[in-house]
Amino acid sequence: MRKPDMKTIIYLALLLAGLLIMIFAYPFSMPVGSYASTYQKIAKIHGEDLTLFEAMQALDSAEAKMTEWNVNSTSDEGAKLLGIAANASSADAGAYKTRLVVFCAGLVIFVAAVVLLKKTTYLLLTLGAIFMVFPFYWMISSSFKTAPEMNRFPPNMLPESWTNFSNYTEAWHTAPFGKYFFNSIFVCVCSVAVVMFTTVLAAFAFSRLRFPGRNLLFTLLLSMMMVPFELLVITNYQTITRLGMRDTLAALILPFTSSIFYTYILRNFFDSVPDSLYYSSQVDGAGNWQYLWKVMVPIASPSLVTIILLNAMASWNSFMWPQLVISRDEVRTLPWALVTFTTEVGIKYELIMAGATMVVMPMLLLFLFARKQIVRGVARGGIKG
Amino acid sequence: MSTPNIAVKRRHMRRGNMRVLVHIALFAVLGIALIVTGVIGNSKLAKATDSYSDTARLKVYKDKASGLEPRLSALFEEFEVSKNSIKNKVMNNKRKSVNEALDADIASGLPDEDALLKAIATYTDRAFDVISSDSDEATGTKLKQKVAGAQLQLIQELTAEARASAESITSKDVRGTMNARNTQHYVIIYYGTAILIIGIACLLLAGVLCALWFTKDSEGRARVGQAIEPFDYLLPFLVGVGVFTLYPMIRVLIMSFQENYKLTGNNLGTATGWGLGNYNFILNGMGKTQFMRALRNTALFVLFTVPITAAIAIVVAHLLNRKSKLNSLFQTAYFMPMVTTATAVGLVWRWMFNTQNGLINALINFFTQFFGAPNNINWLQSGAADHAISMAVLIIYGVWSSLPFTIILLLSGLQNIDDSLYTVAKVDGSKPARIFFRITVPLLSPTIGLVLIINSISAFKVYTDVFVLWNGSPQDYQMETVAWYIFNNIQTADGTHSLGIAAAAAMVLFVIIFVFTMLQKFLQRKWVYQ
Repeated sequence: MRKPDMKTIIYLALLLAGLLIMIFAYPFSMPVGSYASTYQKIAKIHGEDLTLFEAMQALDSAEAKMTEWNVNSTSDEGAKLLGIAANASSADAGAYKTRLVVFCAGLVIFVAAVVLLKKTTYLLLTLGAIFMVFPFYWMISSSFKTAPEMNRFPPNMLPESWTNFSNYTEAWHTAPFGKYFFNSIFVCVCSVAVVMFTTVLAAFAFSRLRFPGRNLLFTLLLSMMMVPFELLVITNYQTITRLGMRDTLAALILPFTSSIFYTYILRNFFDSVPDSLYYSSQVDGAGNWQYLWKVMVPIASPSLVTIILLNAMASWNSFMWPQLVISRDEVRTLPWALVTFTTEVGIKYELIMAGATMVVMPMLLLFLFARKQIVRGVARGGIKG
Repeated sequence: MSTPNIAVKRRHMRRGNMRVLVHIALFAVLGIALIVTGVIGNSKLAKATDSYSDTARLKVYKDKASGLEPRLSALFEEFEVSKNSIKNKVMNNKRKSVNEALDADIASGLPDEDALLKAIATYTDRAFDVISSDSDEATGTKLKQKVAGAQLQLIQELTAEARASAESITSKDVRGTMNARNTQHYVIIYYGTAILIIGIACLLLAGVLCALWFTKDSEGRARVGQAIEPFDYLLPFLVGVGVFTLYPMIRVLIMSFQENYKLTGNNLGTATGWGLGNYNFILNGMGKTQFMRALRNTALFVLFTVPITAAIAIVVAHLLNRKSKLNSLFQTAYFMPMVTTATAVGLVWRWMFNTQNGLINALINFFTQFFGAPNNINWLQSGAADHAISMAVLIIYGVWSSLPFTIILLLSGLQNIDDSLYTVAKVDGSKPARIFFRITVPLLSPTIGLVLIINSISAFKVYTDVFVLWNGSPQDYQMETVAWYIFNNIQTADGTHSLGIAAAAAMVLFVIIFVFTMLQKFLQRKWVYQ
């Protein structure tokens, strides 16, 4: 690494300085701040709209205000006001203000340093990344919080204990998540297997085999891709009901055995395999079937892996169709089960978050391991996962 | 294909022959099996219809107001001695056994006339006994003579009525009362005729192949085998597409014109007629307010989410398009929402936007507390009062969840732009902003166009988002969307499945998507760099 020049050193120093100033001057954990905030809220109930600083100035008169507002000392409000009267002091307001100003100065220095170091991109990207990832953090951290923690306002960034698995055990006992997991996995595996089979065969037929009307048929199929599933679902619902397959796992697999989109992707890949391979295999006496499974499929394995991943994700995350055709608990899959679980437990969000984490975890882990493949597949296909 | 090797050629020929033979055998077997099943199904249906018809006729005979009993009573009336003595001693006495006998006789196949004769005889004999004991035998004999004279006409009338009633029951009606739950072998009975036709078709195919086999020599047969091979490969795929994509497309179009098409508890699709009733309902009639609201919400969602997502994604993709070690870390962060279940994540957002305990309100309060007493914004329950707030939540969530996919597409589009262009521009001394707007964006415009189209198509179909954010009842907060409207009508709360309305709404949605996409494609010819 080449030795950084003077300017960079200065800017880095500024960066560090800004960061340190922010850390040491951090005013938001000062008790006077939270007392003032409480006072502010109580005052609002009684008709006084104060800014935070005005509330800080008024802290000394908290006890007097109790009588003015007719607050019972044994009530919730009264207890809070008494606490303020005993512990808070308006004198701290000055210290708070100073620290707040210093903190803001530190923030400005930090951002200026980032800009001067020409790392604005990284700053923006980091902010954006936080926006994207934060809900996941919130989901996981909330799943470790206890009910009182969840009811706190404003909520804590960190749960009190990162090993509090009680929400998970309670969620597991309230609803048969084990069964839901099994259903989801079963449907996923079967769906992927069947789709693989039909797609490989069809793509081979469209790519390598000749038959009259091949191109016309393919164009027709592509145009059928345009029709939204929301339209097809109406008749599929009727068909499944008439076949008596409501509330079965088969109903979740059957309508999706053929995917025009995956066939399109695979056919394009098959088209890129040189003809010479085919002809030489014919000379060797291999039939189409052997050629397909012994030559084409191994060559196309990256494409196949992509299709498998996309298909698995779509199957795991599917909600609309299971919601329509499944009403029995034994055959529910995870996304739908999560929603019914929510209705069951009502507003106990800590349990809901635990359930959501359990549902999301497998796909998240899959994504962490196979990110490149998934991203490549999505980019090539231009379709949502 | 060039197969110089004779042995190989012979192997291919043998394979072709085998294939034809196998297909003949398969089609023959399948055809026969299907025909047998179809015949069984139809015969079961016939049996069921018979038993329905039997029940209908018995009902006419046993009817207390107009059946056998009242007519006989009319005949017996003149022989009444004390009030109701005949009614009590004859009718009430013998009714049960007569009805049972009628049931048994008709079920066993005895002609209706004979069964009725037996019944009349039972009643008359009893009446004879009663009257003989009450008055005298002579009166009893007179009764018997009267009955003997009148019974033929009586039976004629009754059987005519019964036949009319039975004829009004068609096997179609009977089929309609069955459903998967109350009938064994429901599928074969319901689709009996269809199965039969398919079976016949299979046999015909087998016959055609047979004919081809016998009229061609070895090479010809191999060629036939080669010709039918692609269809073997295509069959699983085409069956799936046919049943679950092609057939629904046509069926829904037809269904949208069938008025009052409902899927009743018996799973029979009933309709009261053909016409524009469904469309009228959603565009002009009782469903108008809800459907219009759904359209409005969906349109707002598309109009805001798609451009905002595209704008942010372009910037992010541009920032991500650099060789940096942190790239994979950023990519993981930005693409994470793509793989996750919409319901799970939607629940997190619902929690974050919670009015009392939500994070968003906490953050907002944090900033506004300096300027005044904090106010909790009611994000998800504003409903009619402040529709904009609910819409804002939906749009934020929509942008968040469609960003990853958009960024991926734009990133791959960016990577397709030749680096040399950038180098040349830098050498010329252009500023980054200028490079971005004059080089990057125009060259990226095809991808941008694609992204806009794909995203708007998905945005029109938004359903899971509203479902989860408003706990399954977005209509309570005036946040329903068109897709939600469709689904709601497929499975209404009161158990009626108004599929016709759903079909009409789905057709409207499809047309809107189609027109919008075509419009975009047309406009893109102007600004997309070719």
